[in-house]
Amino acid sequence: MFFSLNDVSFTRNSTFKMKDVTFGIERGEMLGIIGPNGSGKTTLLKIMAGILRPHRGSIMVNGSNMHTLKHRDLARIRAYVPEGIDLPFDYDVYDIVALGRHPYAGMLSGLDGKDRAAIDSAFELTDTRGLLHRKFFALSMGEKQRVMLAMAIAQGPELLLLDEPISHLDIGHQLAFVRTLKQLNRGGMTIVSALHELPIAQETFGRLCLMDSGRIVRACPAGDKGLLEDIKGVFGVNDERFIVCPSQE
Amino acid sequence: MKRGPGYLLWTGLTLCLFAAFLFTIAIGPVNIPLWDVVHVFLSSSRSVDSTIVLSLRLPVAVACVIVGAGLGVSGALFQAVLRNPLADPYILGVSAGAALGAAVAQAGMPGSVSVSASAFVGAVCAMAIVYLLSRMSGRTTPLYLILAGVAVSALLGSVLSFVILMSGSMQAKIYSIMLWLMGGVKEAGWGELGFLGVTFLVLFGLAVLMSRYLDILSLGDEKASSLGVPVERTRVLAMTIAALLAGVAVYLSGLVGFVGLVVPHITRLVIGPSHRRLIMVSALVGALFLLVSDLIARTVLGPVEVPVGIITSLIGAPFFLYLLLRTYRGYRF
Repeated sequence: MFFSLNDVSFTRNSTFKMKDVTFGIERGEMLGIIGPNGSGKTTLLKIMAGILRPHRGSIMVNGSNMHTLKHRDLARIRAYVPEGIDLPFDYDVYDIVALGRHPYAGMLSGLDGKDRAAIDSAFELTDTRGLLHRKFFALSMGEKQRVMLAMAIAQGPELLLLDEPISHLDIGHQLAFVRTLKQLNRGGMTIVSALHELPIAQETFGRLCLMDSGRIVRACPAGDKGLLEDIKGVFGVNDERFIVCPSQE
Repeated sequence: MKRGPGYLLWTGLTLCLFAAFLFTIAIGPVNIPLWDVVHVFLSSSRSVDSTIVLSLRLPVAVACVIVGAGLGVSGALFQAVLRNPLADPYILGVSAGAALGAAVAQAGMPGSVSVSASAFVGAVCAMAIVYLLSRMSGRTTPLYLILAGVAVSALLGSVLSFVILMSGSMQAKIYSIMLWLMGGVKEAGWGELGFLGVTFLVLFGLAVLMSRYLDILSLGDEKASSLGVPVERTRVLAMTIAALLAGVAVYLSGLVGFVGLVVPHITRLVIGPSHRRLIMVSALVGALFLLVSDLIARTVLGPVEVPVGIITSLIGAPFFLYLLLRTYRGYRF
């Protein structure tokens, strides 16, 4: 098992508890996390990213406990793209993506050849080469999301964690973004993403994890028949037109 | 890819700074020709001019450089840590703490304690209290820090009013406190200046060293954490450097407004937000700004010296507005 959560519990306040979450992710997998607002998707992602520390339980990466790893070593293994991008200053796109190389850089050293190669390939993989000389504030939402993805890719992660990466994009940009994720996955990257777009989730991700009130209701392959019933129950929606993608019928 | 401000900007700024430095020394109640100023530095003979230059004007010019550069760098650090281009060195209680410290020294124990030292202690303590308060609330996020800063500033402000009130009928004392609060570069001995200058250089060096960490902090806590930066430790370090720089400035000049806000902001508009360049250029621009302001403050009303804080705000505010309007026109703010 490449990555696993074992009996992970986390309490944020009296209204939100995550209790005894256990599940694993295989290398090269593409896992989608779905569930209603406030069901704990973001919390779970942040715990997986090591940003929030669970109150109980352990997280194993490549056979070692995640919390024993150095910050910098962990940053070479996983990258996290939070939801929404809000920068206070108008950086050049190149400079933002270059910050992705921080886990490999020394205190004083600038970018070396290896860093530049990684940054180039991040631009290539995320189809953002055209944005290289642009300023961040002048980008569209879809472009910003891609630049943040490029920065995460420049980190050279084995595991990519994304929080609702396509929520603010139109359907064309949503599908294009998802295509990029699939390409990255074919290149060997393990991808975990929270998202709300149920048809896209079922079409894109090999496995889905359905959450409700801090619990994992079901983690199963995307085509699983029982999943559909659980989704209806958890979201309280019966109209299948909004839940299933037509091609699956 | 070669980018950056280029040699032209560096050379231009350095030349301007040098020129402003010489003019600050040359101009005053007694004007000394520029050539004679240079001559004083080059020769060892003593004269009236050399006494004025070496013991009156030079210390003020050096203090201006330290204060201006210190406030510029401190502002850049606070703006990065608080992720807010409108932050300044005084935002987390530094000004209120310094004012109270100065007032207590002036009104409470006149003569026994140095006003400057007391203000320095007040500034750094206020900052520490702000940090510890937001730490106690469980979050040291920019928002909580700013809120704690507002609360502590208000509290210290009321204590300050009380101290001024209790200093009784001593009009002169109140006036001197007010004058101090307006900010003006004080006369300082070479010993103090040397110590503060070295302190400034060390803090400046540290700020440059951690510049990439500042870039990353400005991306937000989660992103910074994801990039392997220990957010809390980095933030405390940056805030400590910024607070000490502000404290050094307060020690030398009281509360000079607007430099720490306007200088990094203007610099950023010209050369972009990357902190390595931003911090270095902010130091130059800050020093230049204060030298020019001090020159104006000393000459505009003849022999009477206007507090330099009034001049910095008078120049800074409209220029800042102009740049904002020019840059953000067309943007939704």
